[in-house]
Amino acid sequence: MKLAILLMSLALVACSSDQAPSANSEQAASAAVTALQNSSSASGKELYSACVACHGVNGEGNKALSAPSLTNQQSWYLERQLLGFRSGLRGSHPDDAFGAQMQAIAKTLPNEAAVRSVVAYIADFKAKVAPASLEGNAKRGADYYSNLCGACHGPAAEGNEKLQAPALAGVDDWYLLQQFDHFSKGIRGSDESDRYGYQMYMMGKTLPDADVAKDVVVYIQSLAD
Amino acid sequence: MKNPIRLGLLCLGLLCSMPSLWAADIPVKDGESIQDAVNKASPGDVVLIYPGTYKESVYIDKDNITLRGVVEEGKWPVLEGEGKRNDAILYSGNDFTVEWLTITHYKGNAIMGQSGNNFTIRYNKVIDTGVYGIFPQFGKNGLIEYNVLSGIEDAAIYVGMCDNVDVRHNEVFDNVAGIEIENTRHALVENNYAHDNTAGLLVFITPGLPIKTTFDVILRNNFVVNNNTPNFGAPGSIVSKVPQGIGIVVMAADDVIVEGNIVSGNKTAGIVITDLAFITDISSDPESEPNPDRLVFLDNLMFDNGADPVAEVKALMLTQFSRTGPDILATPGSAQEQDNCIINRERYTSFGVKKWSECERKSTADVLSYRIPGGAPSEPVTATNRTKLLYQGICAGCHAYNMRMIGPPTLAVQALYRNDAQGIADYIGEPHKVRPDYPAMPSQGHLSPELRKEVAEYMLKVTK
Amino acid sequence: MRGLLSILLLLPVLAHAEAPWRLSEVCPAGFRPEQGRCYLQSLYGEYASLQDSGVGGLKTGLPPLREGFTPQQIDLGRLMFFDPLLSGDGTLACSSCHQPSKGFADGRGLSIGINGQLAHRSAPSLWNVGFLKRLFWDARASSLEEQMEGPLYSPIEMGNSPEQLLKSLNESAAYPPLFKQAFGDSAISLDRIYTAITAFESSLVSLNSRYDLYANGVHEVLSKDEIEGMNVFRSFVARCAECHTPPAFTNQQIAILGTPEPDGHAFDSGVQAVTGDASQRGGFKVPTLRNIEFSAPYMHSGRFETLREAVAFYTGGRGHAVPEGEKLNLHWHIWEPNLTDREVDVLVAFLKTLSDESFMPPLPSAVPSGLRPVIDGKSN
Repeated sequence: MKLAILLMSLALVACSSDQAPSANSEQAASAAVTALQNSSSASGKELYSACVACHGVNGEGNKALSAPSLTNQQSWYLERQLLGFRSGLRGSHPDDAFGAQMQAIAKTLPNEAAVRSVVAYIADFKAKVAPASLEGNAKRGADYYSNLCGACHGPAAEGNEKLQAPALAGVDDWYLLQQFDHFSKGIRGSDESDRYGYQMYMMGKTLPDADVAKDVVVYIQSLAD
Repeated sequence: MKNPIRLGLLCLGLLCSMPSLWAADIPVKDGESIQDAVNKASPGDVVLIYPGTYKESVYIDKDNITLRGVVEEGKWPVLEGEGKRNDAILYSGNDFTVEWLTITHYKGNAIMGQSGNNFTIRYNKVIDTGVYGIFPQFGKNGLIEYNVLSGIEDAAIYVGMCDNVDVRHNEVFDNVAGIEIENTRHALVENNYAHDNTAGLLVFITPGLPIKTTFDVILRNNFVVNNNTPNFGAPGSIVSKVPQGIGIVVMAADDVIVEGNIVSGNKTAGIVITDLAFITDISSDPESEPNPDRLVFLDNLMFDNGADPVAEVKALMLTQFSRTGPDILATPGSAQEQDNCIINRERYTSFGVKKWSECERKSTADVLSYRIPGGAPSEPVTATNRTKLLYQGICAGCHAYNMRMIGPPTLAVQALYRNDAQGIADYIGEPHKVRPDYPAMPSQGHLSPELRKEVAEYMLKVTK
Repeated sequence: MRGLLSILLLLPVLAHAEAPWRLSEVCPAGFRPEQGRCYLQSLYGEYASLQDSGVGGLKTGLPPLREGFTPQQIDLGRLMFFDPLLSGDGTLACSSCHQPSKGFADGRGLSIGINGQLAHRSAPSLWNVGFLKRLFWDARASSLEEQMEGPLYSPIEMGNSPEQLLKSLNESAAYPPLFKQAFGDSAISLDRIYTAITAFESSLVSLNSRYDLYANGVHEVLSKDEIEGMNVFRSFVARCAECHTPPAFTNQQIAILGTPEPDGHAFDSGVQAVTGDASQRGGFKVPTLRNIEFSAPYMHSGRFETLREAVAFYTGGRGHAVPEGEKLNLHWHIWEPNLTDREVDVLVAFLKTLSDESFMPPLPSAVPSGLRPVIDGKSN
């Protein structure tokens, strides 16, 4: 069964029009699945060892593999995302190749307790701001951020758990931009049963174009210091 | 932002003007309450009041409601104030009609309007009712006709601070003032019978009111006869200072045309034209222009006026060796100036009109009505658009569609509460602080849960 | 709800107390931005009024408002309003006598100025003050800018001088950059000070009371008693609405009521002292009744402690409190309405439906001078 899902996701990846995962990325993802399938541990640390190849020993991420850093993502948010991958709420869109990888991996986690323990393990990583990789008009980005995004993600992009809006400051800028692009195109969040994803899917239509989205992300990056 | 609202109102207006779709008759029988019927009524409805005695005060804060008495074989519906109720009928709605009622013994007014436009008040009998009989105030575009009023201690018909009103075919008698046009523009007073009041018709400015002018008034074809009743106005009221025995008073008003009236038997004077010095004991108002300007006196039938003038007039007349009052009296000052005009002045006994010029205009036959063709624009608030109004008026004060104001943008609220109007309705009933950098929202708990939900549903559908 | 209001602090200010002051870029509640300036958005925006007078009945347009200020000007005015740097000795702010929790009045008959001196009259509420074309009880000022010169420089109120006001603002580290944010450059002039405070005062709008909902068609928000009270209010027996005309609940005229002075106080000749016109002796500007429940005591000298006492004055008989020997041209609507106790009760109930503080501005926890802001009459 798990294998079938894996194969299916790989097949989906193959026909994806999105930036396709590299061979390295595919290899790492499939190794993670195998590792988790063979693991019987309930320890967060041991479970996380399957994640290291992409997300790094200290959760620092790896842009080359399109794996975002995890250290600035809040535990409640990581948990919701892992559960979302497991249930198929996230990573099921045919154009979401990397999401499909993560879905396969998350589904291989033995149970929800395992999700929580790996998240708890990640929570102990030392927070480190992801380096800036984009350039843009931060002033223009600030205006849009303040008008549209800050209402939920907070004045310092620190997130707001009451609204289930994750922190954005300190998260890789390239990843934020990629995810915003996915939201705006319906690659992520367009499934109505994904309550919070759908909220961002709706908000994804509120920035006028990709340039502005980049400016907003540049501004968010500037908030992380 | 504004145009869509106007457009919406226009559409509603069109719908409302199709009575067959909307109008219902709501009968009220003796022993029942007119107010209950009004509360049930929707715009376009007619409340039919059957013969009987109704001891209540009725208020109408909705648009396009008609109160219509049903008179059966001479039996009228009677609103009875018993000397203890304040006003019989108080309306604020636009497009209001009241007709075929007998109203008596109220402390205040029989029919009082506050800012309702397009009012119609007709076929009513008002007897011995407090301060004013019919008193529309702040209204635009109205018709007052075929009413009979008597025994009023101030004005029987008092058009106060209005625009575009026709007053015609009314009978007013045994009142202190018959018909008053006060701080009002564009009024046609025609074919009325004003007799046995202290004064018959009065067109004037009262200083100290927020609307400062009276102009463009035609007094035409009225019978103004024997207005010699001793003044029984309440002490302190302005009208209590009006000398008895005057047919028509024009005070401080501008562009008043007097034509075709029969003015006779008024013991002080037929017509008095004066500036604001006529009333004393009132604090001055620098914003009220005190002089009567550009008055036009066309042909009128005047005789037998001034038989026994009040002392002040007698004193004036003695200066030209007469012991009786005149048909026309312009008091010393600006009333005597040449910007006023008259034709055929030799026909009348007069005082103070020597300098008046000869009128160029000879007739007002071109003026049929001073009402506004098609009516004044009215903005009805109905159950169907009040949600929109509340959203625009209250919510939008803090929530813009796509930008941060005091509250988060409507777009974000729509995303957060998609398909969950109830969630918004619950939250705004008892808001709590969610965002560190936004102030807590003020509670809207005074709105009913249903209304909160209606507004929430509206908010979720807003597209700009 | 009033409890909530106290936590309406401007958080950026709190969070960056050490950082340079930054004025709000957002229009205050009730105002929409249009090309960088703030304009009122209210339930009454689409209504007209006869002769554009802003008086009438339930669905009547408002009088013109002083509006079109920038968010930064309004915010600068807010900070100065609460800053005791504006008084001669640094002890009093505008907010000393116009306290947010007391309807922007001060809860006193006669206000207390510098060195504990008693002012001559009661501090009026500032709610909806931007709609007024004449200011002060005796209507002697025709703009807010002109008005504020009164208290600022009165030796018994804030006791400041124009020279010292300019000097102290210029010498403070924080104010010049704030004037730059509000006006484009950091020059501080009296006109700019007055403009900013006018901008703030004009932003104090209260138009979302339960009455306003009723007026706009939501009839179910008022109780039976309150509606009865409203009908007494606008009846031609009580005649309240003749001068306290909706929607502003003032017709902005002068009226001579003949209310009594507090015991031991000389008769206040009101408008006569300004114009010299004896016919205006004892005349005062008709005040708004919005948020009246919060601004006791009532009348020009605070003679009446409660709303009920104030209402009962009008049914006490024409001229009943006029001192012997005074001849006043009492207003014609002061008469003998003979209201019943119940009518007075429901009138008071109705007056409380005019309460709405939902757009209370944020109360600063610090002001640019570094002095303690004056909130609710006290330096916090």
